[in-house]
Amino acid sequence: MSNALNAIIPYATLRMHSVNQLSNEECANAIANHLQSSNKFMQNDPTSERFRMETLRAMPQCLTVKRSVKSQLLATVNRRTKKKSISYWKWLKYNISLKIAKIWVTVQNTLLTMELWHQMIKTIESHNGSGVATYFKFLRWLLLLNIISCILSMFFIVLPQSLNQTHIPNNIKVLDFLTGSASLEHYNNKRTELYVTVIRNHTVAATVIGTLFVFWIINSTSHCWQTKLGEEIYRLIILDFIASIFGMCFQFIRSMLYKKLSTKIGKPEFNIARNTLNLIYNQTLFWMGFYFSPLISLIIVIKLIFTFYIKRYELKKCYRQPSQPWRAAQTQTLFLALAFIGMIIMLLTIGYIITNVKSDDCGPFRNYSHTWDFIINGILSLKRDSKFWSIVSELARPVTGAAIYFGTSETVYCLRAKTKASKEMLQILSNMLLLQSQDKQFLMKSFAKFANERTFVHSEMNFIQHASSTEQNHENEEIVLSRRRNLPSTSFEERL
Amino acid sequence: MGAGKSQFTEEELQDYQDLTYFTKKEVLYAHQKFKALAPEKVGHNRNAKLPMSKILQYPELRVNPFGDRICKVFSSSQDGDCTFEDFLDMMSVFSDAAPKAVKAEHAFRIFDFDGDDMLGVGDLRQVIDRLTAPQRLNDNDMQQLLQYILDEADLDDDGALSFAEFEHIIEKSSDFSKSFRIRL
Repeated sequence: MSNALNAIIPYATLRMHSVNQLSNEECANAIANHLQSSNKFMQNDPTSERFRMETLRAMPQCLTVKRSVKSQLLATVNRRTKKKSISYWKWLKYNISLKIAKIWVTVQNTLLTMELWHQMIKTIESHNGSGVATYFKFLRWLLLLNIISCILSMFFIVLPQSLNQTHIPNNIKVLDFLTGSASLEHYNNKRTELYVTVIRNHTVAATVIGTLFVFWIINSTSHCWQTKLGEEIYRLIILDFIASIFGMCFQFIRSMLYKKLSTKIGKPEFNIARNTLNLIYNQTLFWMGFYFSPLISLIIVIKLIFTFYIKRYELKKCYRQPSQPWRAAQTQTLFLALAFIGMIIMLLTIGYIITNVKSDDCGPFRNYSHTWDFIINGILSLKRDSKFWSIVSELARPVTGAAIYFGTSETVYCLRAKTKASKEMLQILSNMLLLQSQDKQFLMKSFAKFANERTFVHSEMNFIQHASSTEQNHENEEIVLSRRRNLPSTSFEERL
Repeated sequence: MGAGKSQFTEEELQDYQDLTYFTKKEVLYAHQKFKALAPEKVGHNRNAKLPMSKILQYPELRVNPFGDRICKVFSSSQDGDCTFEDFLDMMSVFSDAAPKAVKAEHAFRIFDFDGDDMLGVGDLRQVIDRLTAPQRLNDNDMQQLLQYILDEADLDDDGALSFAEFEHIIEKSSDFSKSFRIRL
């Protein structure tokens, strides 16, 4: 729309009002004249009419000007073509489509404000910048994800199990140990700092989870090892939560001290990278523990809700404004990628456990040597003509697989092509901008040069006039005039 | 309550609907809001010109650090005093329906304090000062912030943001249209 507008009225902009001191009427006349010169624009049909109105609406001019332009255009259109009103059906069609568009905008708005913690995150974003808001948005996203898995596990695992009274997961135990939190490092470059923090925290988290897993898989002969692993993950999650509460107290004390002795201790700053990585660590733990103890989903949901309020409180009370600007969009992508990698690794590990690690004598799969056997048995025991079986066999057909694979590849290909094209366009546009500004600078320089030359000619003229005798006067004036004629004279110069 | 009849004719309302991003109903609602600022004056003349101080009593403008700039940009007499049509213009640009390009154009004008069609260092400094209003950034921080802004946005390195550069930055911030709005 704006491009179309620019093509039609290149000068219809508010910004230039200090340069062209036109009155409202002159301005309206100029715009109307310009618009009327386009034949396509002045057609007397509903599409053109709508386009005209949209153009007028988007024009950054005041209402008086717009109204005058509108009446002029209307008069011209009516003069050019015999008046032909739109048919009732068309009018109805346009009205309805307009109404639908309006309703859609309203619905979108309401949905947006109904989003969880919408107002709070907005406030955080306005007070602490988009970088900090990234953390909270990521937290919200994880929470919604976990709520879904919580509901699924509650309805399909925990509830049926407790009704059946077969196996009730019992891994709620008193905590027995606590650890401290990591220390801060300082780097000159904020980006390097971010990446170093990301790598360090991620390595620590990966080591913790990896060690735990390897230990239990090696010891998978011990009694009820799945339950124990579930317990341990549960403990890690709770511990992490307690650590964050202690962290808040620590930060609170630190900011109190800062208020008292302001110079000695620096006011703490909200570390987006560390906090977000903590979330990812937490989420990886959840994905890992979810298989062994479905109740973890409920704990995670509660924990995330608490974390949101704790962090919000911390942010309000303890932290100073982030000293560096933050590239929110790129960071968001990095975090999503890390969360995705964590999930893939967890899926692979759980896949390995299901297929290759012997299940032992407790838990729902105690009668099978591997969990995978249970799945195979379950599928094989299905009746051939049952609905589920037909769906499964339909899905398992190579054609379906190929179709899904093909569809996905196609989508990925299209999206990639689009990204590439956008990137190229961006490059072209920024080059164009650069070129334009160079043109401008060149013009300004040559203009300054000409202006200088002109003052030089003026002084030369004065000098000549002084030196010349009366009989030479006529001749000299001719020379000067011929010289002046060679100089470009622009209206812009005159104005200066 | 007193005005049983609308102060506008059907044609006028149609005009407003065509030229702004409002429906006729919303135009009337906007007029109610305008009237509430100075009931006596507007009741007498529906398009009365209200002084800037009155317009700034509009709740959203009162808390806005750029309230006076907004008034000046939309004022047809350019001194900040607004008639109803100026007010309607303002509300229309700040409404949800107004496209990003229109909003960007006006935002640029609001930030362009000296009116030289460029956001120079002086303009940016004023913008930041107003945003951080009760406190002031110290010179060092301010210098650094300005440098960041120019590093990010000033593509041609002329030390100021042209409209194209400003628009480019606006394009990148997806939240702009959501934050550049006033609910009627």
